[in-house]
Amino acid sequence: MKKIHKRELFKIILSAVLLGTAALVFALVPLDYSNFGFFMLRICVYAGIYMILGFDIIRGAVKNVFAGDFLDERFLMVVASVAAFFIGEYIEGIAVMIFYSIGELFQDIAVGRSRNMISAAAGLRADVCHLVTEDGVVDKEPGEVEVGSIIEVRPGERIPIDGVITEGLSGIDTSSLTGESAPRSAGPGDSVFGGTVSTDGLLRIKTSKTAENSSQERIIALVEEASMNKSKTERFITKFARVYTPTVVILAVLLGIVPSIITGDPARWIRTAIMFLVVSCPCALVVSIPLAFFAGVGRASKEGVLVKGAGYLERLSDVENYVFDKTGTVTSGTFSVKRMTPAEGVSENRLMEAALLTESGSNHRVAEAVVRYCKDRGAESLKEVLRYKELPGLGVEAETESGIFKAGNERFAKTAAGKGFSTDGGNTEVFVFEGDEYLGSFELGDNVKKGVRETFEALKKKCGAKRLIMLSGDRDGACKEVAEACGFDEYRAELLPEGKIEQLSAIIKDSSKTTVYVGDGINDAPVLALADVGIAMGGVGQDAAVEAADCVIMNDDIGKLVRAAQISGKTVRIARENVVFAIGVKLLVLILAAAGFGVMWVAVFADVGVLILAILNSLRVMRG
Amino acid sequence: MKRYIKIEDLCCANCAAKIEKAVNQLEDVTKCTVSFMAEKMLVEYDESKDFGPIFEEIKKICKRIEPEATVSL
Repeated sequence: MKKIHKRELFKIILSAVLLGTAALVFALVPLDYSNFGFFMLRICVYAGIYMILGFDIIRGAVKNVFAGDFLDERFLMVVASVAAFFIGEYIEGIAVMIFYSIGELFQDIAVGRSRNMISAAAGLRADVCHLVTEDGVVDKEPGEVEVGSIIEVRPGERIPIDGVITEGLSGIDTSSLTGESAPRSAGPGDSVFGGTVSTDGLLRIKTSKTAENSSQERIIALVEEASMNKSKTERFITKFARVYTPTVVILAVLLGIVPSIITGDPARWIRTAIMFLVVSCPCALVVSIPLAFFAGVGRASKEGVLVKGAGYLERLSDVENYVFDKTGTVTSGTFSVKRMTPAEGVSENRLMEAALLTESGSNHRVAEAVVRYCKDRGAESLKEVLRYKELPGLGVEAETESGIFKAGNERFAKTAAGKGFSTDGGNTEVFVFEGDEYLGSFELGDNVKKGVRETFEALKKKCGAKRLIMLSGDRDGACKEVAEACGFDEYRAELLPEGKIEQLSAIIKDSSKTTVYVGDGINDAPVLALADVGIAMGGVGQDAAVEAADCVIMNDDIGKLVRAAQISGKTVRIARENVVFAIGVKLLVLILAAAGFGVMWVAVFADVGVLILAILNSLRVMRG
Repeated sequence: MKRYIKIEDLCCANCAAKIEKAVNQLEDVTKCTVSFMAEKMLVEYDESKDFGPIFEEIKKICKRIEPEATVSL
């Protein structure tokens, strides 16, 4: 508990004890209160007790009233308690102050606790940094370490600063940044990020940034700043609060005066009015929404999805269109052989052997893919290559004792005087010849990432997505194949960057719900910006991607889209529950108070209770 | 120009909304957003103006609406 809270608690207990004692004494000692002296004595004793808590509150209230704010909650509490004194309910007047202060204290503590629980900082910041100096290893605050220093990270410790490993081997657990649970191994020369954990080895790292500019601090800052971008629900509740408080206050004044005159029972109605004033504070209403979204953004970041605004998180709950970039987003951007087609009368083994003979000598990535494919299938080349010739932009030739083998692209095949080869012109192809005899072809394609199909099914079934669309600059044939493999509803191929913008604009215009664009964040910044929510994949260490997108999936796991949508859905649901609950309880208390059933306890519950329940409800986002 | 300001011990969400509204009405401030949860304020202000006096005004507003809070850059 903070010092300021302890002082407040002390004042509350003191007031409560003194109030109890005074009430008891005045009840046991029969004094004639119609006597002016005794009357004043009693008022002064109660007023003194009142001031223990009341002084600060009155001072704040007066300041604000002079600044033109008549709906300051402190002012309303002062009015309520003074009204109680006015009708001779001294105990009730002090009780208003005590309950109000208890409420405030509870709120402070509860909100503070929930801030810490949700905060990303707890799981990302290292407290200490072992700096390697000439005189040995010294412990420093990460903030004091300069760029280019050598630091030591012991097994199980969190890496405090971004850098490059100079010594040691260790598994690096990046789950706090990426949500990826399997540790990757790292050794000298590998970059490591602040906030990740070295699992088993002792590392020495040369820092490449200050602690302040390292990965963990950027993420903490982004998560916190996400709450600057407000959700629609939050804007609604803030507006509602602006109407709510004056309305309740006006009702309180009317209820305090009009029925009193009509019924001639001011005590009953002024008490109702006091209750109204106590319930008029909109704090619990206003906090319940950002709290839920703060928790939602926090949860997402723990799973490796960085959402840069509460508004974006809210929109992710209602996505109709998911639009994807192809290369690097749904595909890994690496080639592999999709199909091998031997020419008629040629065995697969003969084709593969010829391919290995030729392509093994090339380090072109297409050639590498062909070699990998053939070796995976157990092919071997037994002949010795005597001479090797690379024809740039075309292919390769390998000379052996038994003749010349050739492999190359379509242009090469046409000029190489081969006969009998065929092509459909869709994907990248490699044609293989022995002398002039055509042996067959390999068709290569980009690899679809693992889990894309499952992710797409889940997006449609669980997250309510209607259209899955792929936009690509690649050739139609290649796009068609990827689109079918992934389960896209539609695709548009051969788009220039402007074409992507046009297509996306049209998709957005067609839909009243959210349109999400998912890209790699490196060369599609304008499209990311255009979408309702622009999501970049693979953001660890890629500042440009983090900058350009509204939401960043820290590792390459496309399945995180489903988690993002689920967390968003849960957050929005909880925020709505909070609103309905907070407003509902307040209205209920108002009705009870107006009907004469109100008790001060209930009025206090309306505020503190609602707040605490909203906090507990919001924390559900962090679980499950 | 954009600038973040820390507001520690900001303990009432409605006060945060009030502070936001009041700072938005300052002449040299183009936009102000207060995040109650992050206890931070983002101020966008006229670049040609000196930030010092603006910051003083902001401090004053915070002090009035939320006396317990401490404001720092």
